[in-house]
Amino acid sequence: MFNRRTFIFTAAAILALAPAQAAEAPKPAGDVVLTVKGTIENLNPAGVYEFDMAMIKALPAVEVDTSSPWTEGVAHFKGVALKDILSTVGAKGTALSAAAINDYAVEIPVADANAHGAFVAYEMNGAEMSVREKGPLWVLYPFDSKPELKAEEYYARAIWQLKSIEVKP
Amino acid sequence: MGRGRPVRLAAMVAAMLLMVALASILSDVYARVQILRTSPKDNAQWTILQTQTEYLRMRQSLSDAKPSEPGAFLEYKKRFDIFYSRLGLLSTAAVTSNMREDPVFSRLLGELLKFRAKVAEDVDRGESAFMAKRSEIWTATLSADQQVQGLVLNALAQFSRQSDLERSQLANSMMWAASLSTALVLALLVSVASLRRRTLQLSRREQLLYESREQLSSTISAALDAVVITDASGKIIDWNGGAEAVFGHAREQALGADMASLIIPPEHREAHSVGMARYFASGHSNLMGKRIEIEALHATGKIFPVEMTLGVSRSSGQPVFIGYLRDISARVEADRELKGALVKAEAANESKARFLAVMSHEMRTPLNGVIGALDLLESTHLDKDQQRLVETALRAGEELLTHISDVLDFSKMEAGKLEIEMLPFRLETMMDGIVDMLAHVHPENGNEVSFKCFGGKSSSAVLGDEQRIKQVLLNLGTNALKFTHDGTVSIYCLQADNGHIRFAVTDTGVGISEQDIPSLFREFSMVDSGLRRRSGGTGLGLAICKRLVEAMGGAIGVDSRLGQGSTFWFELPLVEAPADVATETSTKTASVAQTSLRVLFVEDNATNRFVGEKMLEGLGHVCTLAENGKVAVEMFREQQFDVVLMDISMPVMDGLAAVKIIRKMSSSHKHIPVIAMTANAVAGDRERFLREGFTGYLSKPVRKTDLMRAIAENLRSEGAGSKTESSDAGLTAEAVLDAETYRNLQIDVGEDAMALMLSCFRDDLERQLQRMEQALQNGSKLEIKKSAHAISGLAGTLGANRLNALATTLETRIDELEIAEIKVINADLRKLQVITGESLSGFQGVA
Repeated sequence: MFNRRTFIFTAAAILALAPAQAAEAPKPAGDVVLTVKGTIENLNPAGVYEFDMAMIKALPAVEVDTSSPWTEGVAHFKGVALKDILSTVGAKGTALSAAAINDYAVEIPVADANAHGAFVAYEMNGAEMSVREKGPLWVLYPFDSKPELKAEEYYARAIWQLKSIEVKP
Repeated sequence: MGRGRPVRLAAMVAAMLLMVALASILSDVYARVQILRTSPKDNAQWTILQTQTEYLRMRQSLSDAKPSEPGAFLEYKKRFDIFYSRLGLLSTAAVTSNMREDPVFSRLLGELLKFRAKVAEDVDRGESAFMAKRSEIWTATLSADQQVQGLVLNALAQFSRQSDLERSQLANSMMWAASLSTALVLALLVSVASLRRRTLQLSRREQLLYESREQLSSTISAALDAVVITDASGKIIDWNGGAEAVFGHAREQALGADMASLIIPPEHREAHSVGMARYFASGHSNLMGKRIEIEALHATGKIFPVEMTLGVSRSSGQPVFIGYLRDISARVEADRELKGALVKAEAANESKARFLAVMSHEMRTPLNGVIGALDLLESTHLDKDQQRLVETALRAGEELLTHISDVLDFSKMEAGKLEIEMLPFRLETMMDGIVDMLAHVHPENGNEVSFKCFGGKSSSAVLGDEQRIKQVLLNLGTNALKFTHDGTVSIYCLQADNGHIRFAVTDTGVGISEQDIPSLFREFSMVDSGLRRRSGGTGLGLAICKRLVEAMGGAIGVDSRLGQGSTFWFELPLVEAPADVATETSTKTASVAQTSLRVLFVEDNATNRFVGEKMLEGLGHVCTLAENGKVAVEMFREQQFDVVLMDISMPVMDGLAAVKIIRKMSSSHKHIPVIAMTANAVAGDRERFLREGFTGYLSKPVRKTDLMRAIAENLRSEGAGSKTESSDAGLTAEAVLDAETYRNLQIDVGEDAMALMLSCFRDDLERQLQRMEQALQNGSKLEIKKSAHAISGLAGTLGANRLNALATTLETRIDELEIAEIKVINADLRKLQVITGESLSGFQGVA
């Protein structure tokens, strides 16, 4: 299917559309809370996809009750499914490199977003999280409902004070 | 079982306990491993490290935050917020809860939290307010370094402690797990070993069982007898080769079949099922445990006898019946044949005996007539030639009688019908009689015959069969006289060393050669006389003698030298007769003054009747004849008789029936002597005749002398009554006066003394009899006894034997007798007194 002609045509189309795409992605109004870069299709002007809190909250919300090693007892989290963010940015990759404000970084496979229900929480127990409280964004897994996630591997990926996600191919 | 069982049990219990323990240990290990897997310990370590890093960054950013630089405060705030959250983790997160338990950690953390709160206050006031306090905050931050460091170090120490603990705990658990596993393995091994041993044991036992079962099976199959095994319902479950042979059914046919229908005859099946039901109900059977003979059914339908034993056993709780059966048809058949043969033999014996009886009677009866007639003829007036003819005829007749008797005797002995009597008799008197008889045997040979008795026994009475001994002596004596010419024949009797009585017949005849001696006593063997004269004879004489002697418990033999003579001897164990039994004496003298008696002579044979009549009349008696018992009885009723002579075997009514009737008649007839005459001289008859009512018996052919003797006996028996008669040997009469004794006495004392003795005797006798009569009136048995004793003594001296005998009898039997009976005896004694007196007178008269 892939002959030279199709490829040139597709590439041209993409390039032609790119600026239109770029023009389509919304611009963050408030403070940027999350920057998504890498192999993504939807870009806003900076060549990346920037979210502010409103844009995050605009996405379909998920609510998860779970305990974790860093909280006491079961907490009620409200956030957005990671796969929704990825689809919003048109992420085309297998791995995500997530970095935190304190420069902590960790690799999250895209599979986690789909299979394990990873989500990005912005509310804990009904209140927004400040940086002092591991906010504003915290990657979490539904530990309680999926006990197999209660492993060092996944704990390491539950990155708080999320700053950026780089989509890697 | 046995030793193995507790070990096995213990091992299995141990194994189970170990498994439980191991399971719990393993779950513990698993839990630990899970914890390790999920352990956020590493997370805690990271958190601590990050705390220090973020502290340092925060301090750095504060150091960099000069009032002039625009973004510095924001940067510092960011770093402070990060540090803030980090401390928050330390103080609240579950992951660090363990660390907080350490008091040092807690204190340090507390101090840092205080520091954090203070700074937060300032930071939250805004940039300008914060900057004013900057140096103060810087100082606080610098001193916070200590706490942070301390915290980190403390955390590290905790971590290492915890790690160690966890390691050791895990190691411990693993050790336990390992130990328990080992122990478990051992326990299982022991179990296995024990089980194995048990298995071997069982297998060995199974082997033994198998072998013994094989053995049993072989035994049963090879058994000759039928072995049939049925289950409780009667179905055949085993059938051996023996059963196949006995019943004719093959194994395949028999197995599974109903036993009763197969081998029990139809008529017995019901009894069988009844017996079975009884067994099941009561547990008992009268068939079990013993041999029984029953009938069985063969495949061919034949019924045959079997011998069976029945046993019961158990198989899976149910009874099984085991029958051992043997075909006994052959044995039953053999038994039957044996019984048949026995019956035949007995029948043969019977007919032989009958033959003997008949022949005995038939042959003797006419002979009786011949001899009797000749006897009579002899006593008539004959000239010399006639005399010789009669003598010849008589001798021939007697010889014929002897031969017949010999043959019959021999047949009797062969048939085992010879019986020996044991009666008392006196040896001397017997010998005397023999010599008398032998005097008439072969007188032409000119021999001298004598006898001599030695030793004490000769005059006392002995017990034995006198007739038979006489027979033997006569035979031997006759032989001796036959083979001796002008010589002597001596007969001796003496007591041998061994206590037996030895009789010897010695002759000075031709003798017997050595080679002939062995066959002498054999039947039908005869020795040539050597004088070329075949002597007549049946050859049975010596054979009969031998048998007779041996039958009497003795021995017979011969010593002989050819040309010089022979001695035939025999020994008999004769014992003395008891003293109180009256003995016989020989009939040497029958010289009794015969009174004329009325005699009833009963005999069916006309010749014999004629002869008998003539004999009796010749003796001076009045004779009445009857031809059978019935006639005899009628005559008896009508007339009076003194004595009856009656034949036994007669038509219409025989002697036994007649005598019974006679005895039942009025009492005066009870005591009439009835003498039986019989041609059948079978021992045992005598007792029977006496029992039936006869007072004596004579053996046919009856000679005149026999008649005389029998009638003489009549005198004694008439007086004495039945009691004294019954046990007497009285076939021959006591002589009233024994001539020899009298003569000897006469010689001894002289004629004159004799006369005196005789008068003394008469007086003494009278006196004693009166004394007795007196005593009778008084009832004093003692006195009677004394007088009887005296009479006995008196009579014996003179030879008044009859008187002597009666008195002796009275003396010895006094205690048994009633006064009335003694009175009767007394009367008899009186009669005898008269008779004896007459005899004495008669003797006196004869010088």
